[in-house]
Amino acid sequence: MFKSKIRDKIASHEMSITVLMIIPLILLFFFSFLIGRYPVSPNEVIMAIASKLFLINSTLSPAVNTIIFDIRLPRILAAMMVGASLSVAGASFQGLFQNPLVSPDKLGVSAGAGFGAALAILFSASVFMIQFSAFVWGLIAVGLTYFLGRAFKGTSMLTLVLCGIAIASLFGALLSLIKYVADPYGQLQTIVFWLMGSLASVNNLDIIIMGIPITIGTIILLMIRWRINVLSMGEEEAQTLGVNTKRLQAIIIVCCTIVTASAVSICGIIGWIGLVIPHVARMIVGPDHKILLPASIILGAFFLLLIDNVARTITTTEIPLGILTAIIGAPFFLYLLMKSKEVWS
Amino acid sequence: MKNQKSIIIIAIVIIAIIALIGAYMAYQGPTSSSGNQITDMIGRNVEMPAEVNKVYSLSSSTTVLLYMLAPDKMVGWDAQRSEEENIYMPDKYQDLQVYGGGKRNANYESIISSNPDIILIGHGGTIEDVNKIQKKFGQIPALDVEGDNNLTDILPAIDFMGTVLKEPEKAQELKDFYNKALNQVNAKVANIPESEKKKVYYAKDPDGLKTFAPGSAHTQLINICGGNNVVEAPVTKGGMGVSMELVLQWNPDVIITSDKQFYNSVYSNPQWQTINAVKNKEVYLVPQSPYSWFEGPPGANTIIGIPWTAKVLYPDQFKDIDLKGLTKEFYSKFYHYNLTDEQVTGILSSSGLKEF
Amino acid sequence: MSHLMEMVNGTFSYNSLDNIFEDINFEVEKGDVFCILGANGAGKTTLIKCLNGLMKLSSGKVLLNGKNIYGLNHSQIARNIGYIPQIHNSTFSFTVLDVVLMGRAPHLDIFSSPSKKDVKIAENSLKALNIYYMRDKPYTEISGGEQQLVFIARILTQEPDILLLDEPTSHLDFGNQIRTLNIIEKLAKNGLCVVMSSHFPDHAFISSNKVAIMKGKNFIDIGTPEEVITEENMEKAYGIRVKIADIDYRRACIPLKIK
Repeated sequence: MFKSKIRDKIASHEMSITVLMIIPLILLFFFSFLIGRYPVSPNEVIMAIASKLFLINSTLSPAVNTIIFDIRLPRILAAMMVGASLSVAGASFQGLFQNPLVSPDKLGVSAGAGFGAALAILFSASVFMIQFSAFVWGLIAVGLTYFLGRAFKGTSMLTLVLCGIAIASLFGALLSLIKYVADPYGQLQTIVFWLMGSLASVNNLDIIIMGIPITIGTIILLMIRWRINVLSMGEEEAQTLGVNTKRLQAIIIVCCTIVTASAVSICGIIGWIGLVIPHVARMIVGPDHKILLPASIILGAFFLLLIDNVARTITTTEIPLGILTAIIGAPFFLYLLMKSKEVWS
Repeated sequence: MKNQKSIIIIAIVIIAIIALIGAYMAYQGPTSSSGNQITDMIGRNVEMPAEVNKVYSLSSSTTVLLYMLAPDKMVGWDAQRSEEENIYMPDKYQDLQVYGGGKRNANYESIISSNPDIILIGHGGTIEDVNKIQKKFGQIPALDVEGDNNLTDILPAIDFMGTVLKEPEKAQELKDFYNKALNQVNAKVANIPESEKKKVYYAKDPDGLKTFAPGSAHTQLINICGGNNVVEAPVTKGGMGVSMELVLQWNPDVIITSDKQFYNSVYSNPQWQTINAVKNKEVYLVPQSPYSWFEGPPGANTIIGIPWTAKVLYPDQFKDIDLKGLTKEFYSKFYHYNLTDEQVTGILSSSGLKEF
Repeated sequence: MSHLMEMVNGTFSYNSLDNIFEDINFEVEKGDVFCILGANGAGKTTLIKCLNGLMKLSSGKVLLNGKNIYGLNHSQIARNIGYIPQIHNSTFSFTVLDVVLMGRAPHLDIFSSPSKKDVKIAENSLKALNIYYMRDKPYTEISGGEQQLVFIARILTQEPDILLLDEPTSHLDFGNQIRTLNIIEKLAKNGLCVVMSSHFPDHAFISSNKVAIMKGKNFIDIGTPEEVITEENMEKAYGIRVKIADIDYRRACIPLKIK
């Protein structure tokens, strides 16, 4: 009932609800600058931002400047970017596979990226190489899945998912192998922590480097978002509605993979968001991808920003995001699930 | 199409904002130099504060050195410590907060809010990686220490730490102790013929089947003290699992383990009974408090492991080493804990040594 | 003068060993309702899928206004041929309007969403079928008969010349079957051409002007319902005896008891 009432309301002004959802995100964005382990007063935050914007010499201590511009700002931006990209990729993949249980790592991107990062850590590579290796291996894993899927006759989405499962477990095994031989006091801890996801070390340069592929991939997904509706009716039906399904599928897979691999490469593997945020968005705005995709972007950004705020403030050490997304996200999702009985049939 | 255009415009604006912020952030004004500069061990020039009273270390091997040389300057731990590890550590150090380690769970804001004068990074990777960490600490100098986790080449790290912590005398004491221990062992080890060298296996995990590749820094003590690591592996770095059959085939003369559970069960576990080390009761448990004597982390904490391992491998040859005295000296000078005779005897006898 | 749609020597096989059907020829024109009858597994669905390129003939060709459809792209085909599958698996609970709007896909390029004009067309299709009131209902929460109407509305929104309906009545109750046939007849009167498969010979009498019976890889007969639906043909096609009789103002096909 919850759902249909809301849906009636939005039917006429679909875009305005998405716009409405931006407001809490903007509020949280500014609020996030105020919280952290280091005490910074709201006045100092405003002064610091104003001094950067208007090029006034700030009278603030260098520590406050570092806290705001080198620790909080990159994390806040990265959290929103990663949350948004995992969610938009999840929503698109769920449409593509006509399955609401699909997450963006279905085709092996996370498994590949995890392997790539671990491999780089094993060879004591630099942080940049770890990110690069994660990104590239994420793409390689999906590429393998895709071409294996195409190689088999009867190229259905199901074959593709099965190939994805096989490739993901292959890379999972390779990752275990690396963990097995890694130095338990240095590399192994780094690998394990990387796999659980964290935004603690993100810097402004990471955001620029990864922001570009993420933005491009997201724009393309947004531009074709109505076609995802048609595709989600089934491959055959979409084809009879004039959709070049093979091409559209390829575009979605490429965009989602690039977006996910970029996100994963800067913050490690963060589960749950790509699977669940699209559901929450669907509960609020309905299944039409035209509204669902923008809504997922906003909700994903909001949710991960919230989680990351908790991760960096609740204890004196960092808590891995992967743990928090599930601990906070699961009860929240179950609550929503109870409130709205059937979301998809 | 109008809709699409607006998306593209929004996207371009977003990219432009990201790029602007980034460009602004990447721009760093010229830093003024007051002349009090130091070159850290990866080659960066770092401005040092006039006084160094509060220090945070991001990795375990540098934390060990920091604790040894200047415990009262520590503002926090990089990792949680267990109760067992804390037995021989004064309470005031145990009570320090944990702010997390680099490349793991370091919470930069927590660290900064403890107002450290300098940050220590142990073997931080490339210069770019170290600079990235430096960026998170802003004006607080972050110094890279290299070799802190390598017992055979640890003297430069001790020297460097002594300099930056302004504790050169303490650093000299540690170097002296290291040289004394090493010289005692080296002289005799050189005379042990290859045929008489003991075959040693280092066992980790409750099943004892996890070890390190030969050549790993974690098993350096075996080589330093004239043992032959039985492990044969195609790799020279990292940890590895081995099968029971391999251990049976290697048939080590001595087993050193850091796992209490394994140590307590090995003499009754039927699988291990045919191994020489077990038959001859030559299994030894590494003391763990306040830091492991053998590895975990490898580094300055294993200096006391030199005479211990020597005794473990060749008790007859090293009769002249006064391990009890050395232990007391090491603990009081570097672990800031005066052991009683009973405690020393307890540590050494529960490690499996018969005479010391 | 080319036909609206024509199949020439159509042959299809999955594995080039055993043909599903072979050497099938027929043509349809504007206003035709062509009904393909046949037993389960006769190949009706495959034949219909070959007509819009979902499946590709092994040999022979399908001509649309004289042009081979395999030379056309998906949206060119979709602008001329609409299709309602026999089974639809729904995943997401789109509103009825969203589903009907999808019919505009072949008229829009890949980066476009429907405009106000497209919404208008979709709404008109809903109105034409008297289902405008369910515009904002989730299409997963309406009855099977209503769903069929929604799909017909979608196909109207697509504005094709030819409708391919794969057993349009098979999941419907008695009343909805007849109502659907009635709509099909009306659409044909408005100038559309309908090609459908059916399990009910009787339905061909109600709505079709052209019937073919598929059996043993071929049409055993093709022509008007009166010519094709005979007691002998029905026994050949289905192996049961029927009675063909004129009742009221139409001819009917009534199955008899198997003895």
